[in-house]
Amino acid sequence: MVTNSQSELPATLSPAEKSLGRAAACQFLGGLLLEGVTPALLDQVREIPLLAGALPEPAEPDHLAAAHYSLFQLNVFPYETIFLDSANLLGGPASERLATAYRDLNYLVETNTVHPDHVAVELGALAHVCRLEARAISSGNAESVRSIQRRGLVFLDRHLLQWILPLALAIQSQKHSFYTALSQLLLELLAELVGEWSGLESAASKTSRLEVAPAILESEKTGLKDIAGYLAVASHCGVFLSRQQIGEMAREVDLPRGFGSRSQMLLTLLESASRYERVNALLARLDILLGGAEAFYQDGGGHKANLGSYGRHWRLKAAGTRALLRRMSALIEADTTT
Amino acid sequence: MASDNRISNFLATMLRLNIPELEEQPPVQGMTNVAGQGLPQFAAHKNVEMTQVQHPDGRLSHYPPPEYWDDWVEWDGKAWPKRVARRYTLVPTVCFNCESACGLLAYVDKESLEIKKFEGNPAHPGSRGRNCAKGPATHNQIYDPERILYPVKRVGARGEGKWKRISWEQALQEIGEKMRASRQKRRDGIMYHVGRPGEDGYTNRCISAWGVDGHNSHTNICSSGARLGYFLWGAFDRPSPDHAHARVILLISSHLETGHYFNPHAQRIIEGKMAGAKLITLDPRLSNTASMSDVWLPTWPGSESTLLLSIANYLLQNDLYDKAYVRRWVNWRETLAAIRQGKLEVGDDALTRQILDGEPATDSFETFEQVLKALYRDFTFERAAEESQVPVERIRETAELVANCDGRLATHTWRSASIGNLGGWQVARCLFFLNVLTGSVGTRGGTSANSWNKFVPKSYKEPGPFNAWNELQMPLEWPLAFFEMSFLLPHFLEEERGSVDVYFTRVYNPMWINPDGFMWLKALRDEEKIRCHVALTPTWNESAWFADYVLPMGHSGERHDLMSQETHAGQWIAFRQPVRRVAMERAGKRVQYTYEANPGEVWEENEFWIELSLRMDPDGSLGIRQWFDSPYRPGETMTVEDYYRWIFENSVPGLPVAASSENLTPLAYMRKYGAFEVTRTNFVPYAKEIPHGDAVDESGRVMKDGKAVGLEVEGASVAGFGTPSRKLEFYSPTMQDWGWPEKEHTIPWPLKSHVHPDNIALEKGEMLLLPNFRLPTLIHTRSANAKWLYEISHKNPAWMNPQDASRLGLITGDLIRVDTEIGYFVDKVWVTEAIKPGVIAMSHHLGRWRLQEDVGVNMGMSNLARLEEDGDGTHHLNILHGPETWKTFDPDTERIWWKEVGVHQNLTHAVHPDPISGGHCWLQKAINVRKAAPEETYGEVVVDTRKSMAVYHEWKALTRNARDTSPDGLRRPLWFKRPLKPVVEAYKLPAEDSGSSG
Repeated sequence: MVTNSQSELPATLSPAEKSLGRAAACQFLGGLLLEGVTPALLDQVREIPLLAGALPEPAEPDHLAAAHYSLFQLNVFPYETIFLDSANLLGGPASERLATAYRDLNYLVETNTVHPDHVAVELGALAHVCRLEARAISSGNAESVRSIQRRGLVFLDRHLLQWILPLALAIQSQKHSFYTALSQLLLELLAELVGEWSGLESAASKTSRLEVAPAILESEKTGLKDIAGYLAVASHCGVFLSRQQIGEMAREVDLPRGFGSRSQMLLTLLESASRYERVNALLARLDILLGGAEAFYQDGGGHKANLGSYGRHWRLKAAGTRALLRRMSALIEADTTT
Repeated sequence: MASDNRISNFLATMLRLNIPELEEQPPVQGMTNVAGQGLPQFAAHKNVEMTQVQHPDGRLSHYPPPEYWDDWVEWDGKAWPKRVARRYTLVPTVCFNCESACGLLAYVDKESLEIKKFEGNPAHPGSRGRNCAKGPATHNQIYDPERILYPVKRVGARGEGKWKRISWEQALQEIGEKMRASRQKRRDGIMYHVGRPGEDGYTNRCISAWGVDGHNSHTNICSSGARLGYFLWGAFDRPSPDHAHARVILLISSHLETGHYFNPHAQRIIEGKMAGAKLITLDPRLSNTASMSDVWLPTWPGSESTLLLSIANYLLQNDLYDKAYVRRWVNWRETLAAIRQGKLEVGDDALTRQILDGEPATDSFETFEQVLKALYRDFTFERAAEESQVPVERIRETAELVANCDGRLATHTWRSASIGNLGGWQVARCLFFLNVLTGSVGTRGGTSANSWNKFVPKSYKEPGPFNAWNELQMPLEWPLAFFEMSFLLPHFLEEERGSVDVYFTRVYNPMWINPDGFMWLKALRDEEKIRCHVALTPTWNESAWFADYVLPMGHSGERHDLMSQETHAGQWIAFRQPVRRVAMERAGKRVQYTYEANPGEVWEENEFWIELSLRMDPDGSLGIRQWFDSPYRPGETMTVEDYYRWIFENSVPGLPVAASSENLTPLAYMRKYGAFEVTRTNFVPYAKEIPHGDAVDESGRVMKDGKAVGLEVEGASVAGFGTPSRKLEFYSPTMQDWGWPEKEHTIPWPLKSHVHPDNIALEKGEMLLLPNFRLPTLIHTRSANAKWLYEISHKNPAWMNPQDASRLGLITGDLIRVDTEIGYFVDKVWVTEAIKPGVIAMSHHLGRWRLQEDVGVNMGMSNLARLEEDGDGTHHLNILHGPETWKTFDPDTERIWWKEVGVHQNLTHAVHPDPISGGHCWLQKAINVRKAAPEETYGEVVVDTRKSMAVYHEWKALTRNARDTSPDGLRRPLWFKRPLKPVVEAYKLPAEDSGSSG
């Protein structure tokens, strides 16, 4: 390995080293997402310019821990099931799919204390694949390398890439500099990997696993609760709305948002908007948020070439929700006029 | 290219950092699951056979038979219309979403170890396989992504809302050291404040081992009124009606949908009805129970005792009561003696003179009968009808039904009127009077004591009583309280009575659940008075936000506990289990601590207390450590398995034999079935013969070693009751001796409620606010993270009679403002004839509020608390700190409402401690009820805590201090129950100048 102290000049890595580097990176970034910047990891983070520059200064351990807790225990829940399924519960089908996928990858992981669909566990699986790849490269077995890469790409295609963009968007929406940088770096890493494995394009179906969103406006029985429920499900509305975001939106449109779970807060927000005749303002604010999400997905989170296709389905969801909001607005307008 | 460079450099850095690889996994041997276990074959094959169950008689199975529980295959209903086979291991456990302890059966997927669903446990004698909505909803709670998954410690100021994850070891070490320091200094510095115990004996054993007076409960906001009323009769503090075999079921509560113990009782009430029993319900609301009743008596709150005594009077005047029973078991001789001593006025001069003259013939049961008739003759149906505002015919109909109960009168009151009213304890006493008069005490179809039907086994090596008395829990003003004056803790702290070194709140949210919540807020913030607050809770709650440590504890499928409840005439125990751990162990995987098997690092209290106690006494010098030695491996620490194994082997009659018949150990039997029926029936245990004692005293008590151990009845020595007289005490010498000599205290008699019609000026706009009823699917704060339950019920509008609505110009959905003694709240109104005129009813099981949502909202803001305080006692909910925010853009300061989680009315309730039972009298006088003004918004809550203390002082002035009333220099009658009793020495009244605690 040839390293270069000048960050603007590329280091020269052998293919095997690159694979090992990716494995270490996936594992390291996953660890940060799972545990936060613990004192044990802080020195290592300082060694990584792309992350070190985003550390709050002073990087006080308690505050770093509190920020992590706030972000990943109170606001954004980084589990595949929360992003891809509508139940908003952990476990369930996503966990099973992951169990099968890990088995297919020969990836044995202890998931007693963290659900198998946590982003860090999925990154762990990817790290495992990269290590296998490095070994195969070192052994000079090209067929084995291709096979491993193909399996890795299938895994990425079916799991992590299906939800990494909305997860990254949700993290970045929390406006914490370090985790914003981390999510950007993660997207960059994945994009680079997908680019390198793109020769195996056929392995990636890029089929959306997103559920068909309910046509809530088609039912006469639909109420604000149904709309709130729709907005609380990322795979329906196209974005994961954290409590913090809901609170911010409420403040921006001058409305209370109540307490409780995300769906309860959304319902309260919608009801208060209705009560104080601020529905249009709220819908406009949501539209801005969803518009931003559309752009983010369109751009593949800044990596359009390699990740853009995984953003397409999410973009359509966000666009669908915007259309729904416009219809709501029109209905309200018509109702007011009559 | 730039990106490539960045990534290349990043990867090079990663290599240089030498990130260690994740632990190498063992090589794969065939197919495995994520836990590294061999996969069941069906995962690899399409053709999986369903488990087939065929009964010889051709019937279908309601449940998987236990012999199939280890390996049960069925289609996945969620996967329909696909046929997806699931192979489960079924693990029994016990629900924790209310007090009933119903059995659950967890379906744990053998492949993924995921809990797929909870259904009923058919082997559970109490619930018999049936559950309410709360049981299956446990699944929601376990897989709720918003639950607390890891131990956390606060960072920054208390209530600031910043938390960091810590290890269990750090939590144990730090908290253990604080407990040690406190225990070395004093024995009243550690307080364990429990909401729903949800278990029998384990934690109390730990507290006893610590040697502190540290048990604090929620009883005084729940059941203390009923407890005292029952206790004075027979030294038991809860009823256990045998609904299934009753002829008449008389309820003062909405038992069919929400009562203690809702599901087990409801199914037996229906069984009773199906067999012809008549159901009578006293409730100002047309509850679901009332609507199913044969007779609904919508009483004015507080009039229940009068109505019950009118029924008693009917039985007495018409000689329709069980005289033989009363003669045999009631302390009538002591009652006559009290009359002779001038302690009890009969209200009949001629009769009194006869008794005072002391003619021998007057010391007879017949005289006592005359006394009863004289005492209660004024309790006519007409008087009852006037006070209760119930049609007289309905009261007469009720009395006639009771008179014909044939010794099978099942009665129950819990919370409701007994905890609603000043003097509410007399409601329970008057109700049980009907059981006594009809001879329906402990009979088939009658009403037993809880202790006759609840089975609590002994554990090994019970620590003895402690030598301590915590004045913050059992102060001198309430010597007869049942039990700790828990809801007054902030008021005592405000009075500078003491402090708490380590305060545990356990599945308890005092700031939300108690009245006068802002006083709790003040106390919880004060680090001088509550020095360390540890919240043991599965989910975030209002109080946990002000803790120093928040430690995640498991839901019902994530913990060990042993439970029993008096659900019917038999006795049983049930074993709560961490089902995923059990499933893993069945699969051969070793689990040392339950948090290894639960989501995140959610733990269970059983193991936590062991480890914490060891940290508290690392060298054994405090004498604590010894209680946590294994009974099986001397010198080693006890495991949870050791603890329960010993109980099952040594302390549960019949269990070892039952287990042996299946070639199981007792522990394995309980792990398999999750429950055991100890006795099928346990009727009239007080009549059971006991060995003769040393002597029989002049009042007929059987004495042994100087202690009364039974009663001589018709020549036989029988167990009798736990009272000092060993009889059912119609007249209470204890009340007489402890400074409450008036007739309305010593015998069943109505006490004038604080919400008596005399105290509610309807013409001035005052009304009675009835808050203390449950919703069928929600239990205080614990069910808040079960969305299935919230989907069913999520609003608590104020019920209002059309007469009142018309007077106030209201229609359903309008906002009303309800002014209480200390503040006001705004809620929506539901206009309905299901509530009495003059009363508004609003459940206080809704109205949750949380602080978490604001975390990180605005980094420039400090703490982002949701409460506005003017610094002068006024609190306004859901607004930000600081005077500048008051005037800023934030509309939360003006518009507060939580439609989907209801209105938190408890904040606006002043504390009303009953001067005798100590229970908080929940009913509120609504000073004013009116249509809300345009600027008043739904959910708005405003409270002035200066008024809080004023009301507290008014009620405290009603008490009679033990210093003035104690007949024997003790703080409390020795025979009165406490959850954990100290040594007799600790009962002695303290010196006048003894300092405050802490």
